[in-house]
Amino acid sequence: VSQENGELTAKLRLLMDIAAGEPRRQVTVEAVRRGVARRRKAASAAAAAVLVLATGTGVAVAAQRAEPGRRPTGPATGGPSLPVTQPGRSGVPRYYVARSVIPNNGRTANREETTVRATATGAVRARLRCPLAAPYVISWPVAPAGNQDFFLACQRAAGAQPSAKVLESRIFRFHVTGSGLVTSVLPVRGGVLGGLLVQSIAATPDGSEIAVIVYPGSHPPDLHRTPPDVIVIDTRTGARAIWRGAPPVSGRTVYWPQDISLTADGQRLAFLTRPQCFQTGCTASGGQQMRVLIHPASGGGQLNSAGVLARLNSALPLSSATVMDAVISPDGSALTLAVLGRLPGQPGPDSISVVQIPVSGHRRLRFVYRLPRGDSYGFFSADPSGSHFLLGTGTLNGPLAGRIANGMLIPLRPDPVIVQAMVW
Amino acid sequence: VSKEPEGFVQFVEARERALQRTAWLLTGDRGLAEDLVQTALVRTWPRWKRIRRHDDPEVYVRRVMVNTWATWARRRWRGERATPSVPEGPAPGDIAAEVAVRMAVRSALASLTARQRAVLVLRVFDDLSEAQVAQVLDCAVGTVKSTMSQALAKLRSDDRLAELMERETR
Repeated sequence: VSQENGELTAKLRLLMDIAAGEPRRQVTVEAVRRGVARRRKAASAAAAAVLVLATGTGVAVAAQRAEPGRRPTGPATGGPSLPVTQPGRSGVPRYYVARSVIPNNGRTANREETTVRATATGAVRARLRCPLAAPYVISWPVAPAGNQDFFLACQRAAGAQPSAKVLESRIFRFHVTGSGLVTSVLPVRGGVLGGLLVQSIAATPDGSEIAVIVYPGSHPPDLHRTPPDVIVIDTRTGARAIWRGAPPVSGRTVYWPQDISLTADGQRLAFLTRPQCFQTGCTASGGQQMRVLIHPASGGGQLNSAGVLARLNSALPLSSATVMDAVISPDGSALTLAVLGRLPGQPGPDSISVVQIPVSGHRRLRFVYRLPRGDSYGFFSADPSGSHFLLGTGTLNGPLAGRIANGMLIPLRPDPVIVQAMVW
Repeated sequence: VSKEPEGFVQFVEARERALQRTAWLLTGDRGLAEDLVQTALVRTWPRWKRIRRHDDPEVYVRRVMVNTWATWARRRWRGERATPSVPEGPAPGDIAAEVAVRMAVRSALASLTARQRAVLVLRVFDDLSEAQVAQVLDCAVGTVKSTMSQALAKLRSDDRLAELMERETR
């Protein structure tokens, strides 16, 4: 064995010698000297920053104490007294959560993963794993709240196939630290949803209220005759309000939610819908609408009884376009819509637009983004402030996924071919 | 920055190319290899006098290099950036054969863990004794032996590498 190893290492040495080749550039003493200078400068800057922070914190705490009638907001003793997270440049969220498919070249089933990525670089900062001891768990969907808090649905399935029955869903809350790590994945009070499949989640920025669209676990949502329900959960008490989707019975028009969003105060839940009826001779008219539930957490009821917030075909010329997704702004004053199809001012029928309309008054369109030759829609997501958007779309040349900034789509990792959805 | 300590310039000038070659085998990337050597030398500079008194400077620099690389390797993202041009310059001589060897060695080394790679490179390429490798990696000699054995076992199953070894040593 020793002789064999000796021969092998001799051959390896020869190959390594060829492979290592000759370095192209020299590492000079001057370069090392500059490195030493930078290192010393960084060390002294860090020391100065610590000093400034310590002094500043002391001054701030002293000022708070001196101000009559004001309670200090930091922890009573110990712990960080400065906010853990800082907003990114221009208020753009520093991290986003992406759901992607990892192809396995047909050898075994493709793997799906949910990752936290840095907006600036696309680097994976953390991989999300549901804290459930089960062989098949889907870690999606995810909804953002403020302060880099997120809500995650962990869905325990009966098998690996996409159509496998979902046995149970549990909602967790997790925090992404300033450096992008995931901490404190905690179960949400009232977040155990036995036998239900979660299609979508929305949360208020303070995380006090969340809403989920659920289907029976044995009926995937593509079975279009299954009515969904919306469950609103008060995360502080665990109290739930259930809003039922009307069953598809003869002669009845139903309004089932396509996607949901909450205002910042949690007082309004808006959902995109269209009238549907399932019997022959029954015609649904009126086109796409945004409907609203007022005080959704205070008590449940029927989704059909939700008020009409906006009839979208009167606000937009939707004869050759479809609203794919819609969210209400945190203050409830505007709607942001992702539209597939032709809108005024666009040359061809193939286009993707993100537009905003006010909820009341003159419904003038404001274009946030336009992709003239967009021919597909993937996903749309707004951050908790309602001012930054993520969009998945595509042209004939392939899919695109990124964030909207100044009317442009800035690509984000990973490769859009494998991205299923992203949220801030 | 004060003037460089005595003997440091001579050490850098004499050994930087050898260190870069080792660094390339650890990292598989020329740019990273340069960064790694420079980082190791920057970290060594402030302690140079003490190292010269108590230690073999080269062993110390290699230890810093391996530890720094281990830290970089633990990071999930290593700062890769897409580049429009291929950074490798043309190599003299039989370019195709050299590139084939380089790719095979890089891929074989990449299949090893960071520790296995470090042991293999230090033991085989830098020709350090097991005791010296143990000193660099701050572990027991027995650990070096077992890690080396695992690394060789893994490389034996690499068909591409075996074919090249056969061809190059014929």
